[in-house]
Amino acid sequence: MNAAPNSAESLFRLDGKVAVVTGASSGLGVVFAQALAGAGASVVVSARRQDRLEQLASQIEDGGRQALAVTCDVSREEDVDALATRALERFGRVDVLVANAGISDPRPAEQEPLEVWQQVLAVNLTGVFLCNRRFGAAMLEQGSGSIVNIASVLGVVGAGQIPQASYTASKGGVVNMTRELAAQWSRRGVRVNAIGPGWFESEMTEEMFASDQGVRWIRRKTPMGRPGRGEELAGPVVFLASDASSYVTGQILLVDGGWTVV
Amino acid sequence: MNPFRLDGSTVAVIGAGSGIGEGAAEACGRQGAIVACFDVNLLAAQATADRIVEAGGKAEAAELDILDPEAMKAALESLGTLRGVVATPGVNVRKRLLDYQPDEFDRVVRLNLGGAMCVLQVAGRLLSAAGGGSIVLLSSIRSQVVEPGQGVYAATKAGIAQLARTAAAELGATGVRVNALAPGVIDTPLTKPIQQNEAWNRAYAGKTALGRWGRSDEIGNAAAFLVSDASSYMTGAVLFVDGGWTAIDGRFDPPA
Repeated sequence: MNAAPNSAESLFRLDGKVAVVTGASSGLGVVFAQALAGAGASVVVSARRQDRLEQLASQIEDGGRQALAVTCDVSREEDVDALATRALERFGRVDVLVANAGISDPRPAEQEPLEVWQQVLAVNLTGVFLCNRRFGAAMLEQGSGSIVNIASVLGVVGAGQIPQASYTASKGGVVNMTRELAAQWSRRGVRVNAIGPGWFESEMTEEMFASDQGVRWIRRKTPMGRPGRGEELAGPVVFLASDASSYVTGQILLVDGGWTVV
Repeated sequence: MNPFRLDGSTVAVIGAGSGIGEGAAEACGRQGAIVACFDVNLLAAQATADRIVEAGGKAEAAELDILDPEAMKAALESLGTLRGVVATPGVNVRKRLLDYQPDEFDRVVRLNLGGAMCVLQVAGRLLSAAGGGSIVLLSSIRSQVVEPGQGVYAATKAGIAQLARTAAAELGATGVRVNALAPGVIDTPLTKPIQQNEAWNRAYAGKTALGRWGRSDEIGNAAAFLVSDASSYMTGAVLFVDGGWTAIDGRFDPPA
């Protein structure tokens, strides 16, 4: 392909950049890691399950990019510190963080045990904070970086039919923490944004997609009339990670087929 | 395949003669689109098209009044298969509400809201009949936050956001996506007078998280993203490209 004028090719690209993706052992995390590698980045993939990570790292290396697999439970401070240490040792810098690791455990609120609430918050909110804090510090030192937190449409609207007070609270927390960190860090070169995916097929939504009723509900309620396809999150994450979004910070990019407009 | 590319696709940009429209046209051109540059000022549209061609892209120019639906229909139909339509024209009369004159109100509402409505109807019919496409309208940070003297402009920009959302809901099943861009303070010919006032210039830069004004190419890149397949599951979104203006409360910058 000819190099387009005004470096259009580099605008939506991440060549020479180093990206870290948490929750990369499954579902959307794999999409994010492959999208960033596809745009030219070296990628550090992390999750709790090492075996699947190694496979993903090999795939990325087969595609001609560098990859590193690191086991990490984002709710544990020492794990996040170790992840950052490994990433910085190997690559010397981190330009992009995609804080994607998350869990859900739907139950009616009146029966939601405190331990479930605390565990979901520990991974989805505290985990995102720990990763933002550690990698944000490294980016501030460099004077540049782009953080993409993975929130959810359930960070801006309720679910009800898939009851999960803990998940919605955690994602709502990620939404406003994203704004706050953008306020604190943007002038020092670190942009902070979030993606709010609508309904995508993944391990987390397995049950829903397995039932006709669940799929019908998504089709009926989504203006585009269908759930999202995993690869449709590739463009948004590369847009926010790259210089193409140089004036975008503190934003929640909803990729939801119109779920939240109706 | 790079989902951001627009190679071989035709994109119409209405308002391509200056500022944000010019930025959107050039960004689509950089991504490989054949750009149809429309503006009420033909010379300005031609100048944008010439720049795209000089940079190695493909573009043509024509005169178009965004408030003339028949002319818009004919112009868009003449382009064949359309990938997307970006519309940017707008006007602002800065005046406090108690001082606003009926003719000023009509002028702002007619161009901003009436123009967006015209684009939605004409492009919406064309693209839905063709089986899909992407429409990008121009909202503003003023759809969400206001300032004394900007009430009518803000009302039209909030109206544009709601028209875009409604169109997304109504046209979703046809394959037509409708999104809006909400720029913050952008360096354009229209905002030059503000930038020349040093205190005002500084105050606006200071209101953003990034601490600076945006450039029209930065809005243009976001427009190209929304036209492209890279945003194929986005519809009804209002994408703020505002340096964080709406994410923070930055009216006062305390001493460190």
